[in-house]
Amino acid sequence: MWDNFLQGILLSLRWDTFGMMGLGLMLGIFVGALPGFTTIMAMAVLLPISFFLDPMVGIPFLIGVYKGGIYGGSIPAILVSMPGTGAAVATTFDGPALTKKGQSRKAMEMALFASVSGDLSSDILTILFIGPIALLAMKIGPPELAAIILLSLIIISATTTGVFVKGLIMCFIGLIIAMIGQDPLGGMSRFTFGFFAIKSGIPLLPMLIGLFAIPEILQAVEKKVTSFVRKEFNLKKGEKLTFKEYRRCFRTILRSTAIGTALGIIPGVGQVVAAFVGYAAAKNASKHPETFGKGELEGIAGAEAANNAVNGPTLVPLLTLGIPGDKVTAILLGAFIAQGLRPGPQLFAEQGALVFAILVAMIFANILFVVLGYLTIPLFARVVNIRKSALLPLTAVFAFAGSYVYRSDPFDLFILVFFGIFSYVAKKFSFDVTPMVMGYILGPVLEYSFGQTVNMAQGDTLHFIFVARPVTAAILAITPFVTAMLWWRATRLRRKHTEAQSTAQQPAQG
Amino acid sequence: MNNDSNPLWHKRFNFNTFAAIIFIVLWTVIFFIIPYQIQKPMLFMGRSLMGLKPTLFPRLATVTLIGLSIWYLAVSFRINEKNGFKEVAKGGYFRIIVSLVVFVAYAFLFEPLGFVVSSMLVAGTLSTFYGNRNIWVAILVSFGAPLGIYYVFTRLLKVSLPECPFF
Repeated sequence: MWDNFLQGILLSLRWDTFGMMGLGLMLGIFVGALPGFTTIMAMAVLLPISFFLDPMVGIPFLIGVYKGGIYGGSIPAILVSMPGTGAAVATTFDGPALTKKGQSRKAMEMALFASVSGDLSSDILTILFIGPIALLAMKIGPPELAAIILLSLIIISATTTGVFVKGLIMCFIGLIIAMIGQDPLGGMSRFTFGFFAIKSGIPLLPMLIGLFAIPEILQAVEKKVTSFVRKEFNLKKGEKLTFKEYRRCFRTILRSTAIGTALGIIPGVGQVVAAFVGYAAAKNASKHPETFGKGELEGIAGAEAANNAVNGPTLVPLLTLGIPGDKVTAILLGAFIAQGLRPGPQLFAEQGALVFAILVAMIFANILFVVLGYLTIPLFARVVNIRKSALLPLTAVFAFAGSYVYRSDPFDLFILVFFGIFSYVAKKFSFDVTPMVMGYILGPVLEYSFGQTVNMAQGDTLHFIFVARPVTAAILAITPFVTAMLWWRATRLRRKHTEAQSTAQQPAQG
Repeated sequence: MNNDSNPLWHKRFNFNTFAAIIFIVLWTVIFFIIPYQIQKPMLFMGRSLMGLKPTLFPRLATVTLIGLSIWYLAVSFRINEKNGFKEVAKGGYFRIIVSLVVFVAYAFLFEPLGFVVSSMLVAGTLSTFYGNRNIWVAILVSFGAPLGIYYVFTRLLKVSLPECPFF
């Protein structure tokens, strides 16, 4: 492991890697700063670019987009109380109040420094712990992998927005879609209906772009408004953050980093939860909690450090087990697959230096992040005013071009449009597409692992699993309890939400 | 007796209920077409060479989906979710449908007209339709963007996009 780490440092020291990471950061901040457009959409649209670059250039590029996007969402959150990404919602509690006081520049600088601090610390922790976790992951076999994937799919289905059963249905729809084409064990043709174009299955990239990019374009055109935001901002002369103010928030940043790191490793949890928990923890620990919500810098620091601290650890399940925990890592998995790499225990064993190189590149990305982010604060504050009539057609053209270059097959464009419509309709009916993407990606791995387990059992699968593979048995045994617990929690939250809505709708008494 | 806390059953029907019914029918149909849509593995001396039948996972998945859809149907009467389509702004449906028609036309014309020409047409049409009336923005979006994207993919990334057959 230590040799791989040292080799990884050497592999990551490339000018083209730094250049593309910087470009990715700028593109990510740009998209993150646009209310209504998500980082996921940017990653999906830019994914094809990474295919044709070296893995040590393409994958850090996407990671740059990801990191930049999470920070970029704080810009409109602070300026106009419109979070550019879901992770920036907690930043709207204090950001706009600071803008009203004429301290928008200070708030944005705190968001930047807190983001970089949280991100950098969690990346270092990831590098320290991923080695031992990978060594543990190398010991698991097909039965354990199948059980872990099954449990992960249930957890991911439960932690998405909306009703638990709808998440599960979307997950299994993803499994069904993954079965179109050839089965992973024997190569038998399934559900092609004699249609040659889908003989090798539904292609991943056009599907991803369709699911994440097209609905955002359609949602943006629902309202006849020329720009996302009309007000203009000039931050060149704004009051800047002082070192004393940053140092005052340092404990909050450390606490939020710990929260984000712990939550990031759990599949399905993500930046949004981390941001809220980080904010709440900062408020509870503060000596003056009454200032939160009225323009408190610690509020911004708490939320932003936590949501960026998720970035590093969220790669751990992906790199060690090949299990993406959220949409971002699902897209990164697509980038790995396109490069001919399959994340998981084998990747660590065969290309450990490459894995560490990517993780080390994330640390260098943070250095670029703080420099570029600081210099471009006034520039990106103007991004919120960009016209939809210019941006939306550009996004559509890029999405179509990216989908086509994957296989140079025009049928992929119809896949793009089909899944775009599917995702848009699903969102309107409160179905989250994330479990579907996870089911699609992990379905073949689950089926293959299960098939290998059956072969290993040599006719007595149940005895093999419950006697010879106790870890598998333990995971399978806790799966129903975890499912029941997640269902109970989801039902309780939904009931609370319904009661709150009913209370709000009741007419005033007296 | 009908009051707000105990609405009539038929008033509890919502889009989730209809979706659940459609799902139950759909997965049942798929379950029955499985044997006709999955290639049978080769046999050697009357036995399959594969440890796991290719129909097993599809059957498991569709049976699970039928069960989940029945659960969904039962839960649907208590779900209080808003139908997102009812919140679309006035004129929004028209803009969405036009956008989708343009996307489908784009997919059909992408190869016959080539990337640059088809993208210029689509970008110009959508930009004007979405409200742009500035000539410079129109030129930038309609001409600059497709040419720029073409350059990035074909010259920098060295991948091919369909050429225009007329030039």
